Amino acid sequence: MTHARLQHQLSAYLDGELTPADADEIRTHLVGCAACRETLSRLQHVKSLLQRLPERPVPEELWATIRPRIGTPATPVPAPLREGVRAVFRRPALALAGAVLIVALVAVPLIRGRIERIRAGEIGADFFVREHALLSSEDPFSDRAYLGLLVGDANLALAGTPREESREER
Amino acid sequence: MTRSKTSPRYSRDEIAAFEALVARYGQRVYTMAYRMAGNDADAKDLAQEAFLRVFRALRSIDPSSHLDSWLYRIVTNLFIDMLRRRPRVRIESLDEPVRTQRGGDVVREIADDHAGPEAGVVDAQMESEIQYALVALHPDLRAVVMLSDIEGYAYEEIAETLGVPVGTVKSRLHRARKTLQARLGHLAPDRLRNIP
Repeated sequence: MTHARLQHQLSAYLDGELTPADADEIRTHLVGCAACRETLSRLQHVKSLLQRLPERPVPEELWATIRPRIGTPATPVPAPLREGVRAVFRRPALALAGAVLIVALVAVPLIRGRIERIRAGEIGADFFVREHALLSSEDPFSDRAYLGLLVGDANLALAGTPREESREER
Repeated sequence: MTRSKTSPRYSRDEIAAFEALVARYGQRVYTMAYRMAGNDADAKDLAQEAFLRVFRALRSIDPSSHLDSWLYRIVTNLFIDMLRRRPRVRIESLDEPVRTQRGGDVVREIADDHAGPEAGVVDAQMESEIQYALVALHPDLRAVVMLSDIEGYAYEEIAETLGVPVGTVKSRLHRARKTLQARLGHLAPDRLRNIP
């Protein structure tokens, strides 16, 4: 290496970043070159100055300015509930069973109630019409409903006869 | 089932951990940002942003990893980003080191806390002069010399952080030190001062 080239390697030599072979070459050169020795001393001094820079006092408001940018803390879920939720997530089969149970508990009464209402509707309407027809037959012209029934245009949707009704609608 | 859409992202425990992190690394991060930016306003912005980035990533990283070097790397990259967006860093500020007696006094008041006899740190006047010389460096040189001489990174790490070849780190560092040496020659011991 030439003198100029060696000089450019002095920083890396100072930092121990040269290959052993290059470092040896620099070391040998330094023995006979006062200028390079001085340059090395100066570089070393600059490095030492930078290393001795003190830490700056941290501004007190640093956290205060960061804090609002994080957001408000999450409302903690009560511990037993949180545990329950975690337990569910740990055991998916349990979660599935729970979901099925909930669906069953909600759906069964709903379906049963609907069926009962339909049956009650059937029986009730049936009774009502029969009773009414029986009574009205004695005096056909006093009851407009009965009259309509006789004429046949009463679109009387009797419970229990949905198919006929839907056909009529079409 | 108890979560609402407006619920925040961090728990109280996490926020407490963040505060502890700022308490632990705040000074180092701010100092580094200050040395890079050369003024308090930018240094605070850099430090804030660095911590926010760390918080965002904290859930996904190994807690035992070296947070400090990670933080410094973030500060450096933020500084470089800042320079890209705004090539002319504002170096004129109230807290910028100045060579006037008044400016020196102001800095000395702040720095006295650290300058114990055993600390081995430069005194306030020297600090302000070194900072002045640092800020006067080209930002590319400044980043390299900061990472090497203040943060103690190896060339390979600096190259990785800055996204440049190791050879570039080597030459930039040499130029940076030569420039600093020319500007700070008067701070050298007498033996070095009189040599041409």
